[in-house]
Amino acid sequence: MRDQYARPEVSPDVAVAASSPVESSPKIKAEVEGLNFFYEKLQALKNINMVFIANQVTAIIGPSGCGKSTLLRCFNRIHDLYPETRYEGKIILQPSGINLIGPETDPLEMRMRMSMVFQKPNAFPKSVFDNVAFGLRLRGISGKELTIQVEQSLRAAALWDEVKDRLRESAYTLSGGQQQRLCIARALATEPEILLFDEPTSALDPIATAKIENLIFDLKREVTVVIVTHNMQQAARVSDSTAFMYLGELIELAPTKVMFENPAIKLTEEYITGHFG
Amino acid sequence: MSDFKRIIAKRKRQDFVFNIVGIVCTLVGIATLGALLGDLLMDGLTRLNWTFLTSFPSRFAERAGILSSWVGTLLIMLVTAFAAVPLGVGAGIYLEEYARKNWLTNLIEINIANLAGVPSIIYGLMALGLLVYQFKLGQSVLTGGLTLAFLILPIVIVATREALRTIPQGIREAAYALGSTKWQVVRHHLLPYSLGGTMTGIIIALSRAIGETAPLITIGALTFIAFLPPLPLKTQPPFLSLEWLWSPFSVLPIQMFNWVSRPDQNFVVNAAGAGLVLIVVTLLLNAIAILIRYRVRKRIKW
Amino acid sequence: MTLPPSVTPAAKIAMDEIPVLQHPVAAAADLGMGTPSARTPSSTKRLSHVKERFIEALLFLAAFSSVAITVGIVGTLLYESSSFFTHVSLKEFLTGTLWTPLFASPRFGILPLVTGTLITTAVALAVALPIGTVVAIYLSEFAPSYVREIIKPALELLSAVPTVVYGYFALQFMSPLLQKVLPGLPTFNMLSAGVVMGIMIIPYVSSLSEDAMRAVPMSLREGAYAMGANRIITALKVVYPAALSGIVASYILAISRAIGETMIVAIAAGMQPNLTLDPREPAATITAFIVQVSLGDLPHGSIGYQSIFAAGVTLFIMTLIFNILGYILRKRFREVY
Repeated sequence: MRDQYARPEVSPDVAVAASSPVESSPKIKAEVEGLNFFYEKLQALKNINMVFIANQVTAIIGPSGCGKSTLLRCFNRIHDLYPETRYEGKIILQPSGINLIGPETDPLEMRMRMSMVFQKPNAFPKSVFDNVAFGLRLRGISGKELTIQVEQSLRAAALWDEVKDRLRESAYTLSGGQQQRLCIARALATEPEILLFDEPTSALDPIATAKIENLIFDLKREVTVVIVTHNMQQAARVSDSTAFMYLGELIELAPTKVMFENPAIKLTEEYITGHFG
Repeated sequence: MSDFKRIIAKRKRQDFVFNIVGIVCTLVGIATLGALLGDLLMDGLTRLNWTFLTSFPSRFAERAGILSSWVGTLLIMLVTAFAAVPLGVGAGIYLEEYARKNWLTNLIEINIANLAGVPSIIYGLMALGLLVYQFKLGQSVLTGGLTLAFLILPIVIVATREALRTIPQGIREAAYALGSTKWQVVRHHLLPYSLGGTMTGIIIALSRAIGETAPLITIGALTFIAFLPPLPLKTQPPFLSLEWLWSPFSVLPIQMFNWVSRPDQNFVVNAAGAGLVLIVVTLLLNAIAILIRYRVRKRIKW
Repeated sequence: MTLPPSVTPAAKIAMDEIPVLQHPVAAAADLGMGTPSARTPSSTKRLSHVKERFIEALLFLAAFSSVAITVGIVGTLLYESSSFFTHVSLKEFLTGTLWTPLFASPRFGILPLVTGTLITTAVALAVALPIGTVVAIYLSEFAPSYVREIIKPALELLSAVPTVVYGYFALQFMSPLLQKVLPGLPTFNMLSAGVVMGIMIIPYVSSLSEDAMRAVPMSLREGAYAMGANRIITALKVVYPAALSGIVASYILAISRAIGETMIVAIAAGMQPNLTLDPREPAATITAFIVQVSLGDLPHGSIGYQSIFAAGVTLFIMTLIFNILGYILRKRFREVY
């Protein structure tokens, strides 16, 4: 079952940080400890404990309403934009040791360390160049340095060749798949510590989806990736570790191969084999 | 990382500054409203008494009153409402329920949008040329009422359409499925359900009409009138008279304009008094409209 | 929102279920008419059909009245001013610098009225556009919702106050106030009138702009915040450009409103035509002139009478240009999310 989803080049043992051959032990990028999250009286996340390995792709899967997007949005404190939301517990970012959701932590600072790509491409009503430059300008970068970094990001998002002659045109002249890659370039430009993907290909056609999946796979060399997806096959194709969530709880976290071939929990197996969800 | 801290501190400062600027700008409007009311009250409250409301204007400031003006306003509003409500509601119903998507409907809708942006004094000019002289209606209550009716027509049409739009399509389908004709659906279902929203719009439109001055001056409303138009009710048959429609008239805002334009400062007090009456009536109508809208929203939840 | 000539599926099902008591001919005649009934004899059906058509015709006439009004406006303006232009050359009208139609030797250059209108409008816009935009951004992006619930209707009250009351306020309050700041300011001046007019117009700008900004989807904002932007940068660089079509439409509406305003300028800016660009001077606007003439007694058909229609045509064309401009700009800037 695994082979039809596997990318041929991937080494089967992916729990270990495959990106750094020198290190034998995986580095932890983020640790979630006892995370509870509330929308007013409704508890959306219940006692989540998990680790995210640096320079790996971690996928979060589960049926609708299980809390996977909610968990993702805790990382960059996007919930703070809405009233009546409450965090409990910790998300410790390494190596700085900062608690992402601590009351003493500044959400604005956290958002500068993270980047997020959303489900529906949300390119700004600006030119292609200005979209990618937006985050850089926020950080005070300008001039020649700015132009260089914009080009680098567009290359990293595999979009440069398609837009290099159209940098000054509106981002809305690009196709849906291109716009999403533009959003990825925009997210990469600011060199985030964690790159957060919230169902990035659910609004795209299969060809655009494949391009982005290839991209995600290449990106992990440079950055830690967390991807929320409702598409199990995508998780199996793209990720090193997978977490299965159900009704706000973390049910199982395992290396992807293990998760899909030999899950430890019965509920996980039922979900993966399509008994519900 | 300390770079981050500097930038973040600057960003937070920006947000703080704009918060202040935003509040100040918002207060400009509110403060003006307060200053306006305060000024009127200070200048005119002393003048508000029964004699003021029941006297005719006069050359002597202390004796001048607003009797003829508010009676004129009342009569004009009667004509305006009588003309604008059927026309406006009818047009709104037609456009929402009957009209097909063709060039004619497009033309009508563009027209209404355009009319909403025409300055009120242009309506006065049209009424002067067309109604006063061409149709020979004279400088009368009838002309004045019709002029204002044309002016507020777009407001009534839009309010009716909006009110009709809030009714879900399912209600219409259920009514048709029971065998109703289109008019029956409108009369027995759509009109009653949309009444609240439509009424709100009509009352707001009328409150605008009450304050209109320019178009009525243009058609020749008088600024000094020391008699009342003939009363609609008579003691002899046929008991109901339409003579008042053809009478010359004045209205409250014109009276205020007349007084404020006089160099004699004694009349300022009168102007303020008239202004207070105007504002109270306008605010009252707006409050009634809001109340109706609130009550209707509570009763019907689609 | 109209039902197509054929009946909707729901109605069709209902029709199919009507008991087969119908006269076969009546049943056949039923199809495609949308007025099914098992018990109505066909003559009554024909009568109600006529009644339906009659009512529809009445309603159509009501809707068509808007077209009739436009025709009435354009027709009257053109008709009355056409006789004006047989006496006065277009050149003198558009380029003359003196407007004295009621004098013994009248002059008919409309420029002083036009500058009066434009200067008061400019002053009003200088007040309304910045303040209105800032208020819109504040209410849409910064203020907590309870503040918005209170402030928005309060600001809309500003536009409900009768303009003659504003004129009073401009003359009795604003003018003396400005005289303290600018000594030597005449009692009648374009500045007081313009400032008060501007304040009156604030809700036109703020309400519509705020609606346009609120309509921008949250995902666009989240994209900006997720990159570490603060509120004001997101508001200015993402939300404001995204809502531009609605915002510009509100600006155009404000311009149109200011150009057509009558009572505030008639009361507070003076009624003397004055060709000047200095807002501290008194001047007459096109609208104020029309009021001034209407207050007097002018014989129907005299050149003085016709001059107000010529002025009216000018005013109408000015507002028409802006209304069309607003329509075009709205189409060009339509954002697709």
